[in-house]
Amino acid sequence: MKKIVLMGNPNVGKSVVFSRLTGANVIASNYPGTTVDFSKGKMKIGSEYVEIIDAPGTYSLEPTNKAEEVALKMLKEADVVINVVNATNLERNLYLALELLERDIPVIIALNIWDETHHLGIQIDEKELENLLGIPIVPTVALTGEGIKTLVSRIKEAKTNEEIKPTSREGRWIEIGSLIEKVERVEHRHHTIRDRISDLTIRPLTGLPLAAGIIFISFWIVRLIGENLIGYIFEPLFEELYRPVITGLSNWLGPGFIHNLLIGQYGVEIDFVESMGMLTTGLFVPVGMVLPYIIAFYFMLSILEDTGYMPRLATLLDNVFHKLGMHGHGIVPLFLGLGCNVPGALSTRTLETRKQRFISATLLAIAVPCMAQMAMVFGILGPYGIQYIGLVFFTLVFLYIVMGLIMNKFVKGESPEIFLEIPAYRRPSLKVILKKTWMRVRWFLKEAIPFLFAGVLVINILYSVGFLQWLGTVLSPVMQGLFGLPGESGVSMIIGFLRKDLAVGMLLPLGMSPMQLVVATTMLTIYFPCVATFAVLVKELGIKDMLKSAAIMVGTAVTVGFILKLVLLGV
Amino acid sequence: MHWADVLADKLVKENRKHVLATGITPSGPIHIGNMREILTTDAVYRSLTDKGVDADLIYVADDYDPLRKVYPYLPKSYEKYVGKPISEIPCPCGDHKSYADHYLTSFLNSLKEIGVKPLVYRASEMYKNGDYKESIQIALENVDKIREIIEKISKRNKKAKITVIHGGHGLQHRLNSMGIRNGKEIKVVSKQPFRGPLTVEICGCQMTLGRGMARKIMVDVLQ
Repeated sequence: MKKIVLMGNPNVGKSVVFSRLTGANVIASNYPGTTVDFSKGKMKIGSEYVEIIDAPGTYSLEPTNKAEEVALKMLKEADVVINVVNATNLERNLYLALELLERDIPVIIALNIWDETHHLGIQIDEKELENLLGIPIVPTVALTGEGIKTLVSRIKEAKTNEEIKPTSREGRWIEIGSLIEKVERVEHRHHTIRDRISDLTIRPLTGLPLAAGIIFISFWIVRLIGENLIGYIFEPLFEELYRPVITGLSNWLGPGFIHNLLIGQYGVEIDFVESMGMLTTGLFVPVGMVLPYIIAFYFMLSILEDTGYMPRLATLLDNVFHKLGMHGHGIVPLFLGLGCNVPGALSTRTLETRKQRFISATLLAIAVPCMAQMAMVFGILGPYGIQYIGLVFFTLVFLYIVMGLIMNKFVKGESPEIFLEIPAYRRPSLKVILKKTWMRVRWFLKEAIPFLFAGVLVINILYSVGFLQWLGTVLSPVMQGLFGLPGESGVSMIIGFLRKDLAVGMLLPLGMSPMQLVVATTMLTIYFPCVATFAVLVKELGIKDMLKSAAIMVGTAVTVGFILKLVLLGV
Repeated sequence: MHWADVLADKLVKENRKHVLATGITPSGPIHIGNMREILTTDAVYRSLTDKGVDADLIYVADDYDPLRKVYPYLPKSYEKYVGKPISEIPCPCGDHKSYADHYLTSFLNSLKEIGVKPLVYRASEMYKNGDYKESIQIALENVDKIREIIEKISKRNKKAKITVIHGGHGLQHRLNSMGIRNGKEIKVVSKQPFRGPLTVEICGCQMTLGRGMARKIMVDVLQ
């Protein structure tokens, strides 16, 4: 099958074009570096099926980070390249176009974000550009789908240009200069309200207070949406509709191993969190407790991403992140990680050096709880009062900073400065936001429910053979002596490797004090990532660095657990 | 009262010896504007000596400044000297010791003709003798204060044109491929405190870059 690769500078809309072409959905946002890996999809051109590959963005064919290396690898497989070009910044985008044309691959250019050129007073003579470059050029607005049909119909016209010979960097810029002179005219334009908002949100004096406000309001909205979804939709759904069904099933099944596995202990009232049945806990934890917050979080994150606010936040916080051995772009793994650590770990690829990636990934695993885990913490600590939740988060923020400072000192390597494009603000479309939220929610359900089922299954089997009871006794001296926690909480730590949300749920039946719960949930975050994140980290960092990182995690967890015991439990 | 006398009166009150310094970079043919620089200082100097105050008038030729670009009156072959001190660049006509001397000599001759007699120093010699050592130390230690003063007086947010980008090939290429290139107009949009990153605008496109990188981008401020 013929391979068509989408290449272009970061944040020009390749992923949106990809979604339009293939109908497959990939996450697209308004900041450079959203796509860090390739996606493949299929489409039919005429009677022939072709493979479409969405590559990470790159400014040139000389990669400066891991995501750009992926792009270069994809190019080597390409039969045809669709070069997606940002029409509002033609000059810079043409550099990559020329580099592509110097290679022996047929190219077609999609002149994307075409609608914005009119607002910005930019006039491009695309016919003339087509003549000069000798390849087809199609203006597109991928967000609305404008021009995509023409693009598809002209893919077969993609060709190489024999006259464009490999040249020096200077040579290319000279060529671009003369091209721009012939095809582009820019009119002077006045400061618009959008520019003013942009200035206000990036200048420190106004930007920092605004950033604090935006982050605070975002989390407040997440909680608001999450709580209301639970209170008005999910809890009634489970209590009023699902409970009678399960109770009926319980009576029909009668006592036995199957009942324990599916529902939990026979003869007591069903507790959806504690009963540890696949159809009770296995379903209620991901759907009834976590899902509402996942929906709320990804809804807000999508808004932040699509407006183009993230790079501005990265600029404002660069100072802090630089002290922690990263630079401002480290905010992206952190924010994505608050949803789920897996995409968070993947996004460390946009950082340039090993040192930055190591620190960012290790901090993610240590101090960034995913939404699933946070939702459970809200669920079990919430009833005791907000101060306990605050204590958990205060400890984690403190750790993020302190561990970052320490690693910056001791991890070898360079941490280069920030160099980041700031995209223009865009008004996010509700339809796109909802679709994106849905894609991520679906992904969560697909990833979370099998693991939860597996977790519940493992727990049930191990309980029925008495292994977990034995383990609880064995771990008791360690958990009790070092951290002031009951021995069974050690079992929850082990289950935490499968799913952290389930592990937090397992703490509930142990009858711990709120302070003990604070210690246990904090340690659950720090000591090790879940298996899905672990697998990604091994791939991203390599075995050797992952072992070092894991040693730091375990060491930190033990130290922090012990200190918390002394400070909070006073024993 | 003449403005030079007003200034001189202020200096008289300080009751000490004064040094009045002036100077230009002899990077091109002299023009009438070059005279303004030294004549205003000379006026104050004369007023001071008339009042019987001990004062020196010194003229520092900034001949250790780099050649910023190949000016229209220079042959193309001067491309290779861009960024080098003008005292180390060959004279365009071949009759003088250096590029700097070529332009400086005619300037100093003109001064003689109109009777302005400063003590002439050459920055290139003073740098090499180590005369600036202590001052450089002080300047480096107070770099942020100095920057603040310059920004306050010159008013920030002016447009500028990129003249030279220092740094290795890798950095040059990275900056170039994001649109930061010689000859481009550039504007500072924001500066983060504590030597944090700058956000600049080029060709209607904004980007954030660290101070270290920003420091390697040389610009000419456009009026």
